[in-house]
Amino acid sequence: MTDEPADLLLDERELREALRPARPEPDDFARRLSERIGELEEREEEKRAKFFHAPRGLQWAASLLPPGVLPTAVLFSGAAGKKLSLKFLPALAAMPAISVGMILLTFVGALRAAFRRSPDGTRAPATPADEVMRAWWERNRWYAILSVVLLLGLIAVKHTETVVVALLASMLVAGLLTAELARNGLIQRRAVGRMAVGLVGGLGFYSLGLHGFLDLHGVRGYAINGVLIAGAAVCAWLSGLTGLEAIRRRIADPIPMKHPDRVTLFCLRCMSVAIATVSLVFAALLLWTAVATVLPNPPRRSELVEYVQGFAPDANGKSLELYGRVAARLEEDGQPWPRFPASVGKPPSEDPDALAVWFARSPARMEELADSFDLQAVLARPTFATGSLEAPSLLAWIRLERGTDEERDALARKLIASLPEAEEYRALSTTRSIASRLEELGRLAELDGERDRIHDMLREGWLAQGQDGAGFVPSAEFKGRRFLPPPPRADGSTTADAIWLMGRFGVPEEIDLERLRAGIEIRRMDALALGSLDTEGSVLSGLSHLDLQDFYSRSTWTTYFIDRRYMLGALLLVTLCLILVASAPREEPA
Amino acid sequence: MSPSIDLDRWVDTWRGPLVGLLLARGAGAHAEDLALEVFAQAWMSRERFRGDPDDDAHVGPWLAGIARNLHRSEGRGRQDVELPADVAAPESEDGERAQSVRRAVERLPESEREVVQAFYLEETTTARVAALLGIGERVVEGRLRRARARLRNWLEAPLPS
Repeated sequence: MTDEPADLLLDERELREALRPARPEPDDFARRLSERIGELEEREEEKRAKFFHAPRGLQWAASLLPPGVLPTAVLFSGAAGKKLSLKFLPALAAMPAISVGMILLTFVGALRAAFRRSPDGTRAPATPADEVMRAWWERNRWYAILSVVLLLGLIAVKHTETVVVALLASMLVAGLLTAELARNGLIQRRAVGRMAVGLVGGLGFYSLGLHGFLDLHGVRGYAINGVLIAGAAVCAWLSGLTGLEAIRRRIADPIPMKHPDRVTLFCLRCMSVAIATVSLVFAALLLWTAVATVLPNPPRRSELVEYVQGFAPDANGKSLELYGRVAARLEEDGQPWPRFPASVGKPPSEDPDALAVWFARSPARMEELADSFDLQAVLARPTFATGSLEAPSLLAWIRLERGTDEERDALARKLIASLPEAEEYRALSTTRSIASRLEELGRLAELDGERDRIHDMLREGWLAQGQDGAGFVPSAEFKGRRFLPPPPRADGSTTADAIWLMGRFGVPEEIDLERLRAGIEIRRMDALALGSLDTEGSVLSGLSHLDLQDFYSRSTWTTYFIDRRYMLGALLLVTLCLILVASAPREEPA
Repeated sequence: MSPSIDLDRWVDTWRGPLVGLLLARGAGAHAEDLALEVFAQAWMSRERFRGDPDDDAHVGPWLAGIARNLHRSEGRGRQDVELPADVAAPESEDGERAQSVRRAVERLPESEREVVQAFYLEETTTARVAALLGIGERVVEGRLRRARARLRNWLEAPLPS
């Protein structure tokens, strides 16, 4: 460095004065910046709207497909991903057609049998099958019509969950018809069994998409899969459909009927084969999806799986997907994957739980991080900076129980002093971070005195009528700049934080938990079915904290059943199928 | 959880150094627009900012990275664009001496020109310029002194051709 005396240097004032013409005018700069941000936000919103208004065909297909399959295939980024999407789309698009086709064919079959007439306009001579079907139609026609209308109507509104229920109801129409034929000795138990196995087993695979690989509630989801698949196995056993030979015949042989009706035969055969085929394709797709969501590039994909499992052997499809997305984003920026030794500034996730997993897997690194935490610098600041509440060095310092009691007390006081005001941007999330750090310090009780303030924040962030239902928002405005498009949407991450806070500090009167529950359900289904992958993670992480049972005192029988509807539906279906199978005659009638 | 970013404070803090840096890197009349775009892009991608928004050592490199990318792509995009004369070379109303100083600054080596324009365009600190350029604060101080000495010499003697 040169050390010229000051009088040998050009005067600073002269230099500033000379550069003044290039100096931006602050107010004009701020105005133009505000306009530019407005433009970019509008463009961003258009992009989002464009996605949510994807081609109707895709949305229609999405309403009939296992969530997780279509969104993943459609939303792959990069050239490889697009190619894969294009290859899969025809197969995906064909599936709803198959499903609806087989329901409609069954329906048409029943109608034709009921109203068949000879060419001269009189009723055709009735076969025993016709008589049975006509009698069945007399008893069940409203249910049959309603189920088909419901199915078609709900496909039009694109609500996956309800469509599945309608699909189920329509399949039951076919099931009832089959049972009627069986009771009258027109088909044997084996035929009923085949259909039941196809139906229950198919749904077992189908529900993997709803609750299995990609859902954090894996245990509950797998229990439902287990009930359905076990039900299918029992149906198979009751009907004598065991062994490879039976499986081969199930696919290849015509359904034995004493008085075959062509349409009915075609419908039943079509249903049996189609359900089995579709189930297998679904299963294959789901397996493929779970791995392919990680990275579109196969060698990198396997490398990443190995890498993740190096420190998290129990990583499941969901967390693999999370890490995969982080890695893919870093790759886009030309950065290496977030290997642990280089992760101080770039943790793989903002989720403190994910960091905890990392820490637990690398104690040496955790020590290093704790060493790098500068308590005195933190205490010297008036408040904690929001971003530093999740700093790995702070987390490591707290979790390794560093510092004396006095130092930890001082840190706790500083955390409490950093509580935001109710109307501050992201007040709920900041408070959640502060509460988490205090909990780790064993001093969460000290926040109890701030209960009213936290309730104010919850009221401030509560959005009772958002675009996607109720939930919480970080704040409608930030420094006078609207950042949420009107009407505002609830934010998954903020909602998760609010639920956590309510679990600890109680629920303010103004917050309607029924509405909140409905809002989360809508967002979860949208995230899964329409593939808004950016929100999917945060919504699901919100649900992982949604242990409403802990503080949900207004639980009613409706919420009890709503919570357990999938399991109840699975049990109901399996029971019905078992009754249908068991009520059909075992031997072919003479 | 993404950090809460006070954009207005960022703008007040970094507007001058950023415009200065972009000027020094040859953005010319586009420097102010580019700096504006840097802030707009930073705001739009704020969810990706992982550091402490109140810490200059975190914010500076992030903004500088955005500026570098934008300047690079802007440079590619506007190769054939001819700027109107009044935009390309705004007339200043100050004296001949000030114009001589500006011409002298233009002739500084790039490393010195960067620190001079980033530091003197508006009020800022050497720490912020250092964060923006990804160098040490002492290095910034050294370059400033060298540049001022060089400018003094040049302005007292005829400018080198």
